[in-house]
Amino acid sequence: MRKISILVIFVFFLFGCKQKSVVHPTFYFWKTDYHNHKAETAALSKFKSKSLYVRIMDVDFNPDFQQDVPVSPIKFSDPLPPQVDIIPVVFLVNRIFNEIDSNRIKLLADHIAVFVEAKVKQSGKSSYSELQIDCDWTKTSRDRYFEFLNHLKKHPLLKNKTISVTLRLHQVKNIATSGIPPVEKAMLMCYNMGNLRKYGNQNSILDQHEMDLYLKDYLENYPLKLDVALPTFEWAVVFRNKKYAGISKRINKGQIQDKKLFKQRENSILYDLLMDYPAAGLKRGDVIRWEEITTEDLLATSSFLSRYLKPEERNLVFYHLDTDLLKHFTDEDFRKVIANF
Amino acid sequence: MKIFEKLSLISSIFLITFFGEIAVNIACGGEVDPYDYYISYFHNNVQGDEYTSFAFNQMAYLNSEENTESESEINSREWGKYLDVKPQDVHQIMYEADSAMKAKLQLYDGKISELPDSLQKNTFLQGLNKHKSALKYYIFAKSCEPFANVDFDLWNPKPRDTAGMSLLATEALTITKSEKDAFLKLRYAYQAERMFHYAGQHDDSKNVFEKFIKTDQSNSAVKGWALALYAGSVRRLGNPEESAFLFSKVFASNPERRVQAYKNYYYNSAPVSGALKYAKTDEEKANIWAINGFGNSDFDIESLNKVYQYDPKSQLTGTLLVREVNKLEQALIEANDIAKISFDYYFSYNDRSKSKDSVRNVNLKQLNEIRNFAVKLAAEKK
Repeated sequence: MRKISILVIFVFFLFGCKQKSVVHPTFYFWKTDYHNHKAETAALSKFKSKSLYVRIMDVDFNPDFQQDVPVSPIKFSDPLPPQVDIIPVVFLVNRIFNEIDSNRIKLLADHIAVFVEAKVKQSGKSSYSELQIDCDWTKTSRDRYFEFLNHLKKHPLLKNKTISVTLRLHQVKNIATSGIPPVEKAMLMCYNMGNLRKYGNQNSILDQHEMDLYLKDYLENYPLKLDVALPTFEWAVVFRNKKYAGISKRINKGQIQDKKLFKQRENSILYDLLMDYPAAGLKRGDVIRWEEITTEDLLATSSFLSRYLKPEERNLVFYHLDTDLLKHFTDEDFRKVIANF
Repeated sequence: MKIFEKLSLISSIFLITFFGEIAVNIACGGEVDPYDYYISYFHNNVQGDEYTSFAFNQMAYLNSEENTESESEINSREWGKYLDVKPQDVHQIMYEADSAMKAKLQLYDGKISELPDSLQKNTFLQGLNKHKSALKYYIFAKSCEPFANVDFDLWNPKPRDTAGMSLLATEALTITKSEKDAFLKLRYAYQAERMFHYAGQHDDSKNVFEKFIKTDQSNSAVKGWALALYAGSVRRLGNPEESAFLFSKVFASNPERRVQAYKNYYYNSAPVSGALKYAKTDEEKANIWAINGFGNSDFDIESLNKVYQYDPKSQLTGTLLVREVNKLEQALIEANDIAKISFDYYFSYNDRSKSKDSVRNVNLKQLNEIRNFAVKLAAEKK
């Protein structure tokens, strides 16, 4: 009897609670000039972040030079804080893999390895342990992208270093067509999932419906170790005559809430512009979709993810580190979201 | 081997090579030559060569990227006159030195006897030897050179050494203030302006120009180069219209920088009225209208008229008129099958026949206007 009761209790323990993941919260730094801002560095210390993901550059094919070139590489006006390691991130525009031969692939891998090495030194760090490649690869560019990753892995400058890649939701679902990148781990990007260009009331940054659609039945089976990236940003999507016209950087929350300028539609994140607004290049009748992320959104997402992610040690990365965006969330908000994993 | 076999072997190898080569030439050869691939009976530079870069060319952005004058030769002439030495000798040392010569010159501190024979005879080096403050400037300018002349390589991760440039700029500025010799003072000021500019300190750069270069009384070409930098700083600080105007001034005053000034004028994307706001004299206005005309590959009689109105004696009028004639050639000469090998050969517009007559009428109307203008020009004999 006693044995049975011990067994019952043991079984209870086994199923009663799921193993908790250990998460290391940190940020993406996605601006082109690094300044050590007090609030940003303070956030890193509060989170006890050991590393910061820093965008080094974009790489795109330049038809004038007929080669792949770095686009707005980062400049370090200040060194990174001493207690924080750097994880360089390189964004590759998918189109470079549409028409690339193996010589160019090798050259690209070599260029990136050398460039990243130099930029890491400029950030005040002697070395780095992980390089992240960010590319929204597709079925057609897949093979060449993976070949590129293999070249990068073999590069002498990346010996003993981890290479990770970013992973979009559709790449998790369509594993057969997207393939599995030949790297140790991936960063699941939980943002920009909806249809940005479609006119409507949806939030294209974070949309639980899309997450259900793309992750629910697929995430558990994804074979790579996964880190997670969550959004904290906001933006104003402009529509003119119900057609996507762009993202306006000259509209902020203060203007959106200005009753003289905008009228909010009921139960909606759409705002009608009431007058011509030349300062932002907008005309009367334009519609702004104000997309932002609340703590509740992040909590819902993190509950959803923790249900389907394998319990393991992982980085939880907020996109992105910015003094103004940090103001939208209290420390308590962040703590709740982090604890939810 | 029989003679017949030998001969047939030789001849077949000959034939294969001969026709193979032709096949390769056809397959890989022949880019469109922008100076030869369309019909023109009217040379695009009959008005003279001063504005040859901006003559009309149906296929190229600029007829030529070369400036009509050479900056290095102008600078050598100025130095030659200043030190009373041969300009060729200046050019040889300043611009033609190979790496071995540069290494020797780097250590040159006025002791001419330590140099190789070939350099000892150079009158520029002899002149510097006699003129210690000029030598000091020369060494200083050389120390700025590696900062200013950087090889353009996007994959070079090294940022520009702005701190180093800023130090040099400050040093140059200090010397400028105390230098008595006007020739050297202007050049030190130019180095200061230039180093501040490349270091991104555009306000400092502008100040140097306004204080030391604008007020300079000489007619040195350096003033024009400095004005180009100043115009660049004005643009960076957010005034594209004034910047466009300033570049139009460089365009007029410094033929060695004309192409650069022309391109920079357009980088500003300021409307012609914006640049005109700053123009005071008729000559300045004429130049802005001329640049405007050079940048227009459509019929443009307005620019032509304006230039003629403001500055009737200028060679600009002739250049613009010839441009219009060349444009008319493009519009009116019908390519026959033999000559039809350019753009039209590959891309023929199917719907052209419908609008052919009205297009022709527009072209003929333009022809008349140009003819009237030319007749007026000839009659007024300004």
